[in-house]
Amino acid sequence: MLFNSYEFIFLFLPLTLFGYYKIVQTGRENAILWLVLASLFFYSWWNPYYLVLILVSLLINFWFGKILVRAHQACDGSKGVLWLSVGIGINLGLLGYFKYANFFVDNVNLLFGTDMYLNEIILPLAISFFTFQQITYLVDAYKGVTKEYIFLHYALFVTFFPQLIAGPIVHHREMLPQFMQKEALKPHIANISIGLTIFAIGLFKKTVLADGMAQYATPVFDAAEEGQILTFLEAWGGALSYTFQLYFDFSGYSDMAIGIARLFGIKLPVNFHSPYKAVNIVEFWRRWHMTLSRFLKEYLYIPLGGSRHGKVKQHRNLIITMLLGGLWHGAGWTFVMWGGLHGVYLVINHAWSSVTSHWEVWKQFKPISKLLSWMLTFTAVVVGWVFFRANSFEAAILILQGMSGHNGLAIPSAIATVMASHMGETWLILESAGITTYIGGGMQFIYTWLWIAVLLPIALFFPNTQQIMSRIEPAINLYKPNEQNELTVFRAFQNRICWQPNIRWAGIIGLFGAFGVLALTSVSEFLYFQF
Amino acid sequence: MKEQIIYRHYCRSLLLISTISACLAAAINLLVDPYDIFGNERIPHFNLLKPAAIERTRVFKPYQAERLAPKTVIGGNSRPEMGINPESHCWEVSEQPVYNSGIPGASFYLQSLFALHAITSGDGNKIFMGIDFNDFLIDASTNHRNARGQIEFSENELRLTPELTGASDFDHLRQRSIDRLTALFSLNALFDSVVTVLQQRNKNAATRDENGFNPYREFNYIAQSEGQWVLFEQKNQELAVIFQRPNLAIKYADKTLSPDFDDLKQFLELAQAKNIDVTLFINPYHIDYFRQLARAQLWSDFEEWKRQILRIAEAYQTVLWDFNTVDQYSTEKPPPRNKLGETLQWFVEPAHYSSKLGELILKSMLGRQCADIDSSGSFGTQLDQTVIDSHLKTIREAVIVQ
Repeated sequence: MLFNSYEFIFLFLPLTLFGYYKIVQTGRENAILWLVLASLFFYSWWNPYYLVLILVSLLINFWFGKILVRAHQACDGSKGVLWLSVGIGINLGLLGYFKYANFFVDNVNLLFGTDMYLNEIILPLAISFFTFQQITYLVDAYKGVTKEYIFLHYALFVTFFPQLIAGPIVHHREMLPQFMQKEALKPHIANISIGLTIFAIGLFKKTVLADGMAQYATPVFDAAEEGQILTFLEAWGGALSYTFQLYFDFSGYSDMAIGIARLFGIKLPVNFHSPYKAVNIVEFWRRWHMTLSRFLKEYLYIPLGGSRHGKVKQHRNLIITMLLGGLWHGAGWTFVMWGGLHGVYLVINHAWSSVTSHWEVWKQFKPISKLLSWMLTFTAVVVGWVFFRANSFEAAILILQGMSGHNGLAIPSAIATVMASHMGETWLILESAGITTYIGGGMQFIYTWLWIAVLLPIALFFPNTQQIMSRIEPAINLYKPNEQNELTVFRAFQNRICWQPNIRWAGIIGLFGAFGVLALTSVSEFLYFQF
Repeated sequence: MKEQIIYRHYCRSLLLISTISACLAAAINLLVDPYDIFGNERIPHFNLLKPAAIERTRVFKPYQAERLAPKTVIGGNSRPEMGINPESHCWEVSEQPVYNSGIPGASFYLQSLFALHAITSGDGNKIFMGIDFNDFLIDASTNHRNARGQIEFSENELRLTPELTGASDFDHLRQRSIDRLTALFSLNALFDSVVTVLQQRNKNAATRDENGFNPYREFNYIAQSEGQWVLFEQKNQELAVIFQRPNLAIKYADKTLSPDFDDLKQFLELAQAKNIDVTLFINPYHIDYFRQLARAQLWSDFEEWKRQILRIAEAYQTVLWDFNTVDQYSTEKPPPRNKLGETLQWFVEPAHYSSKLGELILKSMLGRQCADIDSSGSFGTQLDQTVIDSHLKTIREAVIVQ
C-alpha cells in the first residue's frame, strides 16, 4: 500500500490509528499486537507471499539477538563474534540472493563466456531496508547497547509500517523505548496536529512537486536509452528534473513517514536536511538520506578502520563504503559507478579541506568561495544522479555528453521563432554563435525549465520541514548543521517561516493537504521502493 | 489545557480547510468541465473551447457521443478526426446529428469499439470507418498473438457499453465513476480548468467540438509563425522512425495475419448483427507518405494489406473506398521555409488531410454534389476485385515516377 493512495489515506491510516488508541486502553501489548498486524497487512498489500519471508527473517533475527544478548551478558566474546557473523551472514545472504543473484550470474556469464541461467528473481519490497535495520539490531545486541526479549516488540521495531518500506532506518534503542512511554498510550491532539502537518507537507512534496517534475525527467533518460543524441539544454533539463524529482520524492516520503509515526506519538529520525544547500560533498552526505549515511558510517566505515589509520586508509575506507553504498541501491554497475564517484568526491573533498585550511586568502573571500563550492558540489551531485538514474552506462554517457555541450545547444524551433521576433539582431548573434533549433518539443521544453525554476529556489532558499517545525522538534535530530557548510541566502526570510498551530498555518497546510490529495489521480510509486 | 484547545482548533481548521479546498476545486472543475465529461453548456469566453480535452479523447468521447445520440458516426484515428467534418453540407438531415468518434493513436480495435459505442448511443445506423495501414502493422519477429482474449479490460474499454466489450456492468459503472471523480477531485483538472478559461480568447487554442471533430485551430498559428514546412518536416522524420522499425509487416513469420484483421472482421460482424451500415474508407495520404512507405520497403505489404481489407469487406458485403491517389491533391508541394503563412489546400502534413479534402471524400462516398469545391471528376476509387489490380498498379507506378 502506498502512502500516496486513497486506500491508505482514507481507510488504512484512520482505521489503524483509531484501532490503536481504542485497543491501547485495554493494554499496551494488545495495541502493539494491533500495530504489528496492521503493519504486516500493509506489507502484504503488494504481495502476500513475501509475508512469509519477512516473518522468517524476523524470527531468525530475534533468535540471534537473544543469543547475542546472552553472550554479551556472559562476557563470551568469541561466541558473540561467531553468532554475530552468522547472523549478519544470513541477512546479507538473503539480501544477496534476492537482490544480486541475477546480477552476479549475468556478470559471470559476461566475464567467462559461460551460459548460466537463473530465473528472474523478484526483489521483495523493503528487503534492503529491513535487512539493514536488523543488522543494526544484531550489532547493537552484540555490543550490549540494546536487548529485546519479547518477539512482538521486536516485530514492531522492524515492521512499524511508517518506516517499513523505505526507512528512515531506525535503531531498536531509539524506537522501542518510545512505545513504552506513557505518551504512546493515549492520543494527544498535539501529536495528531503535528503528525497531520508533516504528513501533508510530505504528501504535497511527493504528489505535486516530485510527480509533477517526473514527467520531464523520464523522457530524457528514455531518449538516451534509445541512443538519441541530446543537446545541452535537453540533457541538463533531464538531469536537473531527476535531481529535483528524487529529492522531493524521497524527502516527501520521509516526511510522510515521520508524520504518520507522530500520529502514534512516535518520533522517527530526520532523513533529509536540505542536502542541495550543501557547499561540499561531505556536508551533502550529512544531509542526504541521513539514516543510511549513519548506518554506513557506524556499521561499515568505522569497522573498516574509519580515519584511524592515516589518510591513505581513510580514503580507501571511504571509497569502499561508498561503492557498497552504491551497490546497496541496486544491482547494477551504474549504481556502483555512482557510489564510486561519490567515494572519489569525498576523497577529493577531504584532501581539498586539508589544503585550504591553511589558506587565509580563501577564507577572506568566503561568499565567493562558498558560491563556487556550492556550484561545484551541486554539479557533482547532478552528474552522480545521471549514473544513478540511467539504465545503462551508454545512456549515462550520452546524457553527460549533452551536458558537457559536446552536442551543441539547441532550442525548439517554435520558441526560436518567438525569440527571433522579440530579440531581432541579438537572436542573429546567438544563431551565429552556434545555437540551433529542432522541431517539436516546445511545450516539453517550457514546462521542464518552468518546473526547474520553481523547484530550485524551493530546495535552496526555503527552510525544510524540520526547520519550519523547529519549535516543537518534530523528529529525532541526527545532525546539527553548520551554517558555514551551507548556502545561506535569504536567512531572514527562512527564519520567518516558522510553523505555529494557528489559523494561518492551518490554511497553508490545509491547502497543501488538499492539493496533495487532489494530485493522487496520477499515483506513482516512491522511487526508493525499487531499492 | 490551553495548549490542547489551541491544537484542537488548529486540527479542526486544517481538516476543514482541506475538505473545503478539495470541494471548491471540484466545483470549479464541474463548472468549467475542461474535459467535456459532464456535458455542461459551453459558454463563449468561459469554456466554449476545450484545449485540455485534446489529450483525453479516449475519456470524453464516449460521454460526448451518448449526449449527442448520433444518427451517423465517423470512425477511425486522428486522420478522419480532423479530416471529416460532422457539420459538412454533405450530410442530409436524416443522417444528422453526425458524430466524429476518431481516436488519435488508438489501435483499430479501440477505434471500432468507440465507433460502435457512439452509434449505439442513439438510433443511428451508419458508420463511415476510416482505416489506416499503420494500424495493422505488427513486429513479425514476435509470436503470433492469439485472438483477443477478454480477460482484463483496459479502462478505455470499460467506459464503453458492456454489451460491446463483454465487461461486467459493475466494472463499467466503476470505471465511469472513476472518470467522473477524477475529473472533479483532481489537481490536474483544476489546472486544466484554469487553462481552459484563460485560453478562450486565444484564436489558435486547440479544442474538440461537441460533435467530436478536431478543427485543428492551432494549424494557422503554426503556419504563420513557423511555416507549414515544419509540420511536413516533423511528420516525415516521425514516419521515417516508425516505418524503419525492424520486422514491420502485416503478417507474422508463420504467415498468419496481424490480429487487427480479426478485429476488423469482428467489427463488421457486430455491425451487421445490429443492422448498422458500414462504409470503409482508406484515408488519403500525401505523396511524402507514399515515399516513406516505399523507402522502408513496405510497399508490397501496403498493397497486400489493401487486398486483404477488400477480401474482408466483400465477405461482409461492405463498401470499401480507397482515397489513395497520386494527383493534384496528394502532390501539392509544401511551402518552403521562408514562406510563412502559406498553406496547402489538401494536406496539413503527409499523414493528415484537411477537412477540405474531407469534403471531397464525403462527396464520393455519399454520391452527392455537396462540396462547394471546384473539383474535376470524382475523388477516390470504390474497390472491388475487378479494379483492385489496375488501381494498385496506377498508384505504384505514379509513386515511382514521382
